[in-house]
Amino acid sequence: MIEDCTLCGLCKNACPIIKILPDEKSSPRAKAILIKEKKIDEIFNLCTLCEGCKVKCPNNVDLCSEIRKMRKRMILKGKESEANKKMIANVKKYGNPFGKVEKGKIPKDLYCC
Amino acid sequence: MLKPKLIEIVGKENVLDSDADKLIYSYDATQIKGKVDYIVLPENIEQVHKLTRAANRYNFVITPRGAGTSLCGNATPDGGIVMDFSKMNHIIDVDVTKKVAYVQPGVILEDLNQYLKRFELFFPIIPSSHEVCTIGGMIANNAAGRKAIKYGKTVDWVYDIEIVDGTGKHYKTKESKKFAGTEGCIALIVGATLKLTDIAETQSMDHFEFKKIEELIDAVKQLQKRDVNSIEFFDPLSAVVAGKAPKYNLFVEYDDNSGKIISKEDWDKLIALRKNVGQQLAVKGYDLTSDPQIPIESLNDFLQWLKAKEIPCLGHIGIGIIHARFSKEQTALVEEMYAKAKELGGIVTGEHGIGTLKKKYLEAEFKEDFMFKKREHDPNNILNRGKIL
Repeated sequence: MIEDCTLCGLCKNACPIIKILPDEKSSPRAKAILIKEKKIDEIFNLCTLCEGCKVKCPNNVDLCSEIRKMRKRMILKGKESEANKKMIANVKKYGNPFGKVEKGKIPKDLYCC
Repeated sequence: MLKPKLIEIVGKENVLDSDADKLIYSYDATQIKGKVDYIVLPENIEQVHKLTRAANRYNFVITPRGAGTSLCGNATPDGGIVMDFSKMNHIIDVDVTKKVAYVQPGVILEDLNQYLKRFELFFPIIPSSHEVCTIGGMIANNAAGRKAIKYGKTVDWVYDIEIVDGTGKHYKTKESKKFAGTEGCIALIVGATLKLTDIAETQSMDHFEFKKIEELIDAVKQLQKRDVNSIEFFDPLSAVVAGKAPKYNLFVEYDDNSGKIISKEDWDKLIALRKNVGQQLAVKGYDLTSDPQIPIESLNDFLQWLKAKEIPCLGHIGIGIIHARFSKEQTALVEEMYAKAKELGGIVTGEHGIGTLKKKYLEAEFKEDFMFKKREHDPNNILNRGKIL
C-alpha cells in the first residue's frame, strides 16, 4: 500500500537507477511522492522494476506494482515514451521489440521496457 | 528572472523546475510539504560559491539538502532554491596511515564505509539512515546513531571541514564544533576531512527482554561500564508493532566475542528488527518522532512518564537519546514531553536537530547564541531561512 510509505528514503540504498543518477528526482521515493499526489511524469520510466526498494522498505511497500499501474495510466493518456511506442509497434509488426533484424546483424535500436 | 542566472552558474542540466521536480523536492522525511521555486545540483565548490553570492545579491533563500532523511523539517524548503548536493559525491582522498579521508558532502555514508573496507577502516557514526544519509547532512545535523556510546557524534570524527558561509566566504576550518549541528543555517559544507578507525576483528551481540523499566535501566547501567559499542532498545508498545511479546527489548553490540550472537544472519535479523520498528510505528499512526537526550539517572522517570501516557519509544538508550513517537491524537503531549525532558535535566534534541518542528522548545540562551553565529556568517539570512531560529 502506497499509503504505508513514510518517505523515509531508505529505499534509495537498493535502487540501481540512483547509483547512476544520484539526484532525488531519480529515486524510488520521488516516484512514491508522485503516486501519492496522483501526478503522471516521465520519471516513472526511470525504474527497472527490480523490487530492490521493496526489500529495503521497513513497511514492505510494493512500489514497483504502483509504478506499473502508473505506466499503464501514462499509456492510456497517450503519455508513454517514444521508445515504448516504437517497441510495441515492432512487436506487433515483427514479433520482437527491435524491428527488422537481419540474420547475424545487431539491431539498430535496442529497447527495454 | 532567476533561472537564467542559475543556468549560467550550474548549467541547464543542473537546474530543475518542472511541477514534478518541485513536488518531489518539496518533501523530506518529515512528511511536511514545503515549497520550492528551483532545484539546483552543483557539481563543484566554485558553483556553490557563486550560488551563495547570487543568493545575497538577488535575495533568494538556499535550502541545502543531503539525502533528505531529516525528521524535523531541516530540509523542508520554504521558497527559493533547494541545493541538492547529490552530484558532489566523490571520495577525494584516503590516507590510510593517518586514518583520514577527504570527501565531498554528497558522499553516502554506506558508500564510504564499503569503500573503506579494503583498508579495514570505517567511519563509525551509524545513524538508522546510514545506508542513504550523506556526510554533509550528518555534519549539519551532528548525527549520532547506534554506536554513539563508544564513538560519540559526527563532530567527534571530523578533523576539519570546508565551508562556504552565508556571506560567500569559502575556507577550510578546524572549528568543526562551531558549524556541526547548525543545519545549513550559517554555512554550506562543501568538503570534510573525516577521522577513521579500524574495523574490529571480531564482533558479537546480545539481545535481552525485560518486563520492567527498572530491570532495563539496571542492565543499561551495568553495560555502560563495559566496552560496548551500541546499546539500543524499544519499549513494549513498539515490540507489539514489531510482532514481538510486549517487553522492553535491549540490543547490545560488542567489538569482541563477549556476546552470544555471532552469526551474521542472526545479527542482521536483530539489527533490522531494531532499525525498522520506527517506520513500522509510523505506519500505525505514530508518525511524529522526537529525540530528547536524558541523563541516565533520570531515564527511569522519563520512561515511566512515557509508559503512563502510552507513548511508544525506542532509541539509543546507552547515551540517553529516546525516540518517543506520537500519534496525531497525542500531539498535545509533545510539548508536555519536552517540558518533562528539561525538568529531568535533559535536552530537546540529541541528534535529529531542530529544523522547524522544535524551534518553540528551545531555550532563550541557545537562540541568543545561535543568533550571534547567524549574524556573523549569514547576516542576510539566505541559508535555510526559518530553521532553528
